[in-house]
Amino acid sequence: MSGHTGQRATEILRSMFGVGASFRDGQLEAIAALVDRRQRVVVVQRTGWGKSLVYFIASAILRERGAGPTLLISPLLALMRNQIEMSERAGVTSRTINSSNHDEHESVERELRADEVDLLLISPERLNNPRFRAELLGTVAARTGLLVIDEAHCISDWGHDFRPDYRRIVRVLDLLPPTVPVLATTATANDRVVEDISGQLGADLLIQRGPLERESLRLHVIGDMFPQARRYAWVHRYLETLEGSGIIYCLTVGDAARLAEWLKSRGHEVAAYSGGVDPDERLSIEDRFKTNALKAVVATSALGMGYDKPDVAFVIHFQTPPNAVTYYQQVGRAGRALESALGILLPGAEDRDIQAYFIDSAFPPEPLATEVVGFLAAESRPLAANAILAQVNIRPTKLDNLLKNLEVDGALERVGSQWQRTLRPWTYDGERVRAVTGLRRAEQGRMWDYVGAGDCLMQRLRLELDDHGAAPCGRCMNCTGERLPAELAESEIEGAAYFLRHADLMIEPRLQWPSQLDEPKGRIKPERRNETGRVLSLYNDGGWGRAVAAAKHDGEEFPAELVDALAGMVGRWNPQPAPNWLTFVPSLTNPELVPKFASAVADALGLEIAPVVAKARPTAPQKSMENSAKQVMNLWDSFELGAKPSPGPVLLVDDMVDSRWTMTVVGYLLRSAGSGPVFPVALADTQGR
Amino acid sequence: MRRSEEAKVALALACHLGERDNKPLAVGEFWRVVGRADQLRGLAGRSSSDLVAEGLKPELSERVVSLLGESLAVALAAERLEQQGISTITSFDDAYPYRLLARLQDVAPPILHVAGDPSMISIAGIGIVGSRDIDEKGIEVAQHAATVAADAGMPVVSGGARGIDQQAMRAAYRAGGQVVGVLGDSLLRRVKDPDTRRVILEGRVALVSTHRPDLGFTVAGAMARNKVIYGLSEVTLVVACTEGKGGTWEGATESLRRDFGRVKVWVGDGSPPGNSALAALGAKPVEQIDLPGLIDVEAEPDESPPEQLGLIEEQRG
Repeated sequence: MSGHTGQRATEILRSMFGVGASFRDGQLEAIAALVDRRQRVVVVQRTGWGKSLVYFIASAILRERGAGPTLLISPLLALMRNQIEMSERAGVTSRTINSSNHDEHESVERELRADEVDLLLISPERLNNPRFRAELLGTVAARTGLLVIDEAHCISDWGHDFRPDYRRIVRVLDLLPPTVPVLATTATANDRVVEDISGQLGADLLIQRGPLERESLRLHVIGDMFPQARRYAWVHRYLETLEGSGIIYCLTVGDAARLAEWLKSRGHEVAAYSGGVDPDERLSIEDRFKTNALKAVVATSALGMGYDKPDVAFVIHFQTPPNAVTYYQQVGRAGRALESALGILLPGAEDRDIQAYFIDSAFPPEPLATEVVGFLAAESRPLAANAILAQVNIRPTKLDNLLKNLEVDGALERVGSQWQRTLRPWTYDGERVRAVTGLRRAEQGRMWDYVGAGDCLMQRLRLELDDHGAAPCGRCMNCTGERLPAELAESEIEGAAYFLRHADLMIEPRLQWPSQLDEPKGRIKPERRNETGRVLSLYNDGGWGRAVAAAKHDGEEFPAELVDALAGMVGRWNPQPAPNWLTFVPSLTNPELVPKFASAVADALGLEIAPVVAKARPTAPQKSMENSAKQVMNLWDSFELGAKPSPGPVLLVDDMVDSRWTMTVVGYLLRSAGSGPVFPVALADTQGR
Repeated sequence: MRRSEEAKVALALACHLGERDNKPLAVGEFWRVVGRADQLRGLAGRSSSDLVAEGLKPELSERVVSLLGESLAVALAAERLEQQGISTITSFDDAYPYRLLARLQDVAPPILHVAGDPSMISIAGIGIVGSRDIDEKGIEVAQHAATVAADAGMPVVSGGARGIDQQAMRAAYRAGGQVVGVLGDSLLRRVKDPDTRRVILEGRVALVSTHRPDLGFTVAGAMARNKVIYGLSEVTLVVACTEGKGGTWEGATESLRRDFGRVKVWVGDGSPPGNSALAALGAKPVEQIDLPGLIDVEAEPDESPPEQLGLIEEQRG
């Protein structure tokens, strides 16, 4: 190591943190490898170790010696405030170009061209954006003095968070001689992932792996909370007994939203944070959390990488994550700068199903991938995603994911806002899909081993990350025998159950037919639209959903309690103008189930029932129709009216509602034939289940 | 794909992709560096004074170091092309046809861009070239030769120009054979065409460019690619040329002079006078367009890929 570099690095460190400051083991070595030997370096160290300090100081020294700017590729939208401060103290001018700072792009570009930028942060998506790649990136790339790949575990298929955009980074590395130093950093990588990353970076690599010890973290599992109502009750009762503020992780957007609503309704200062929350709102929540204005953030994995509040006092997992590495990463957010912090896992009854859904939907199925590629190959010209939806039976969000995967595979490319088959030969890599899916299932199994373990929990997590030096922590519930309080009164559980059962959900009316269709087309006229309806539950959820699922599964009859629940819901709702009759959506496959149920509901509400809607022809199950265009095509012409409907307002009953197209088509029929306003009502919402 | 370090270095030195402040090495400069520098591997770690010590002129050494410094820009641009289905192959990659290297030696283009299956360019093929001005007889001969090649499982290699080139390429495709088009320009523009994309995807056509895929026509580009046609093919048949004029004559005489490939010329009934002139200069005359006529059973040079540096040194000696 050049004494010069070591000296300079220490100078900079001390100017930032005071004369007494010194580097952690390995930091100086990494800096020197990058600056003096232009090496490729992989740093696997826990969050808070100081990975960003390494690249800030390396950038500062390289720039002093006349190198070009550092290119930092990271999934973060922006450097966290404390990182920006850090970079400034190191004398490094950092800028970012991302989707949320369009107004700054021009000025950043100017600064780049004037060589005033020392470090440019971009996301992998932006790196692969064709226009950005062709235009601005060229300016920077030719002069790049240091390439930093943050969250490098995303490169690896074998990692818990493989991201397709990172795959292209790997291809760029394969074209790059060892002239530009490269730093790959991550906090969560097991042996296999490190091997993978190293393989991509090539020979002459410096690999640093630190222990993943989390000294302040006390891990707990509270195992007999499987029913959702119990966990709802537990969090309400014990949240305020926990010191400080923290994070409550959920698996889905819906779960985070509902849990937050429950807690808010009980007076807790919490906010829901997920991909379903507006980005501005999310920033505001981050701020409030940072200043401890919130007791907890109820979040999905969207509250993720790089989020670094040093005094998170607890991390509660309301549901079980799909693998131990994700768990380690999320629970590891607690206690960075605290003496003691809690990690509590509350496994739930619904967890396995949700995890399985994630695993099964991670890769697009072969027939779909082949169909989409074949379709675009035959067309030989660019097409919009909408045009693909009209042809191929696939959900829009699933198509987005599929297109992205195929783009990274090199089978497809974007041309403007459209898609085209590239010239690269392509076959579906079934081997890889099978291998990775198998791995995910094994990882899921090990997560459940953790849940049921009697030995040191922290040690288990660390071993999962191949942290071979891990010894029992002496702090977790199994090392100490400590048990967190978990008593709940029946009334508390009942209260939560009541909430879950009365979280009446809306059925919003459709306003417009799918754009890909020729018939029907355009806006649905107001006088033919449905009114806003109600649905009792989310299929198979902790409220009524399980009862609904059970009855549907057995196929016989919906039990009286569901009839009462639905009637009760209508009573609370009190639709206006009040319906004076009731009808239902018929089914050819199960002709008894819904009519019987509708009849019982009509009785309970004192309404006349008139079965005016009939099935004209069989249809494929709606739930097998993956997008709107397909769904409507499946339904249109499949219903007819057996009699003229009464002109009064009507309750339209079905057992399930998914995309709402069935309700829309039947409602449209009724209105066109002269019925009054149509109020859809259903037992369960199956969307996304 | 794990490229060798030499290949990555070659890319940085000679490839015109990316927004570069420094001018990439020209063909001659590239091979000079390859010949002089102790080894391309590890070049990235050496300073310009190291290179001067190894025998390179100071300006060239400086330039080499600067070019290597820009390698990320080239890598990004090359990956972008790769994404679209256009591979960038250096003379150090396995996919680079050794035949081309052996024949062209220190004028072998260090960089090739290929749309389609790159392995197709290494298959022994038959070059068919000729002028843009064509007559019935010329077309017939070109098509016939193409069909003979296709039937024999040999790709037809040509320049993609209007006239004889395109006639031959179309005929080969129609006859169920493979086609390698060697272009001097506009590769990106050509592969926008839906029909072209279709045949490339089918695996029957590959387009090779010696120039940046986004650059348009230049005379230099058109000339430079001729030697590649001769270098890639087992043997190249000149269907029609004009003595002393035009790209076909230039390409053929250049190949004869510098032994870039085996040049044959059709001299049957109806052939233009330029053809016999070419025969007089050394092109093997062909009367009958059939497989034995096109492919003589001759003593072939050693088919195994030679040690590249060694070969160049021999050339110097």
